[in-house]
Amino acid sequence: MVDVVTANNRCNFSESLEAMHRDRKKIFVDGLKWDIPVVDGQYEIDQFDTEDAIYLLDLDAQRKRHLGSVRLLPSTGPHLLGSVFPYLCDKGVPVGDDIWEITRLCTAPAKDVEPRPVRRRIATALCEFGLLYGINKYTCVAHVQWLSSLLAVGWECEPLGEPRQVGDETIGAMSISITPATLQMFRNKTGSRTPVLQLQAIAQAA
Amino acid sequence: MIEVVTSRNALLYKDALHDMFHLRHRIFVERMGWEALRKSDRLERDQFDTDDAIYLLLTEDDGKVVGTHRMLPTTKPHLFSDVFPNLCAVKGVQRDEKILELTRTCVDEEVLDRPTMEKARKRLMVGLFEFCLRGGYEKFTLLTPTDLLFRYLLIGLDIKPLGMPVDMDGNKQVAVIVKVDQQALDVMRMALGVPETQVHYVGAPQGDRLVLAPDGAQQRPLEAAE
Amino acid sequence: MQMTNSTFEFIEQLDCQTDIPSLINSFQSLIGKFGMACFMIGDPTRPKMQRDDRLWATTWPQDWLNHWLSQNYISVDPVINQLLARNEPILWRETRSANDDTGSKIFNEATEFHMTDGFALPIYSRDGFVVGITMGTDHYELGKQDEACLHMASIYFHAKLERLRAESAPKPRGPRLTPRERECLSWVAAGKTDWEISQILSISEQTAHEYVQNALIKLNATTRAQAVAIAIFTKQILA
Repeated sequence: MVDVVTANNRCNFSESLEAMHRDRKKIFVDGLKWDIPVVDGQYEIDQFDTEDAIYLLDLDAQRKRHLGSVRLLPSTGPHLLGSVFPYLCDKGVPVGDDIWEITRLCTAPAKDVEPRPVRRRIATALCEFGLLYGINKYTCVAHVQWLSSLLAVGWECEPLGEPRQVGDETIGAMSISITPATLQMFRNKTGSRTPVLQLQAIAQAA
Repeated sequence: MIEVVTSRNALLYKDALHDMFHLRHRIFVERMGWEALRKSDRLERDQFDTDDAIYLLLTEDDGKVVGTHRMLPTTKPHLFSDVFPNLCAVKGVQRDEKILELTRTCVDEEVLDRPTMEKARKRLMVGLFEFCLRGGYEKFTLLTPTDLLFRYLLIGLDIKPLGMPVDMDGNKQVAVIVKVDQQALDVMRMALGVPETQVHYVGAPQGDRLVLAPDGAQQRPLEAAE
Repeated sequence: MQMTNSTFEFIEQLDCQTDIPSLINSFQSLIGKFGMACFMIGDPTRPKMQRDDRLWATTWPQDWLNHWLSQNYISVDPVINQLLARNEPILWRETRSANDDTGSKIFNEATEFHMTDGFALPIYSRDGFVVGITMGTDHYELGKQDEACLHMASIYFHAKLERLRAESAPKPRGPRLTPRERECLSWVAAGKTDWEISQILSISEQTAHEYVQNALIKLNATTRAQAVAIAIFTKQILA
């Protein structure tokens, strides 16, 4: 099951979020050598890990262990593409209530975690979340190679501009459309017919 | 697990809803012989299966639907208001935002073996109380066989008749209203032997902000979230 | 409609009933409005049980009840037999048969107590046994609607009666002892010491002591005598 974690129910997930930040440090800082902030020498936390961020956390059955996660930011607020990489978009940064940004997609680096099913669950959860909350497009910043693998998996992707050399890497911006057909495609792969998404705590918006 | 499906999250339950309508056709039309409901696509849906309907779907681990309830808001057209008002002749048709009408309860009698079927019925009943309690509904109305009425009275539920019993489908049935509160849920859990939380609710936006619906046993009060 | 309203009033005020005698009065007063003289409710299917367990409540005339019980009519009364066999509401008169001498005798005798006809209903009980309710009158003139009213009232009456009976039944107090704890405590009751118990049961003195102490803790007793008393009272050991 993939939990939706927002500012309102975060207190129920403090352990899992800590584990997520630890895993993110191992993956993005230690592994991929990204030059991003590290807190207390063990947590990767940046300026976008704010109250506005929503996390989809894939947790084990006891809802303790972090198996994988993704961070979602509204395009209407500060987000990576808009604040750091606007030049990756040839026709301006897409902004709208129905557009959210995907960042820090990862699976736990632990040896006993098989990444494939985790990625599938998170992909399915992204579709479900999108359909549920009226999100038509996700945007993201990624390696060029990644674009082709996303297309291969079956996502409906579209580049937002020419890829650029940033440091040692070539990165580009893209948008991903979410439709009921996208969800169906992932459901067919996993054979599941009911949502993987779950909303645990009460968050009453006034 | 019991999934709660409303018009808000129905997009996530396309297959499950299809399975449910098919299950209803298999049970109500093909097994129980409600011929008036027969459909060529073998999906049993009527004029009350609208955006206002709330479905509880009992699913197995692989997501297969093996049981269902349909709940209709009593402030909108429902069976007692539009089709069977005579069954509520004594106390009148109940209409209130806090009252739902329960119809189309069934489990998959063709697929489940007997013990699993009994368990499924019990889980559905407990899930119903869980859902109502969490959704803020205080009562529900339904048409029930008098034999079942007795059984639920005996375990201590507050059930009141709305009209006189009638002969229907070969047995005596009576329109009743059932009170839902924490005590009723506890009593049901104990009497039916279903201690675990059954209901899984995937919420949806309300207005322009996210309203996340409560789910799961670790539910915390609102203050704790702040 | 007036009968229907009386029935619904009876059902609605059941929540306020807290004791069996006033519940019986209230039901009796309801059936009186339908012209019924008296009723009996019970579980006739378990003949080995004590009389109290088979006969739950009745307003039958005392003389008739005594006679009915002393003659063991519970086993031969045609109304009860038909109720069990047919498992649906029946009129007394439907059970009369010229070939049934005992039945005819019972009917004739009942007439002397102003019961010439009546109405009987089966109701499923908690454990699947049939519980029957039967009511008699010397002047039967119920319509279908009246019978439906009495049927529904009977269901509610029966459920409430069973709940009140369950509440008033003596409940086993506290947690149950294990067979070994019961055994040791029985010897304590017989005045044996831990050492003597250990010899009798071929266990160590320490183990015997632990069984007895566990029993004390479970029964929430401070002394061995108190533990024995509680265990006897809750029927976990023999007096």
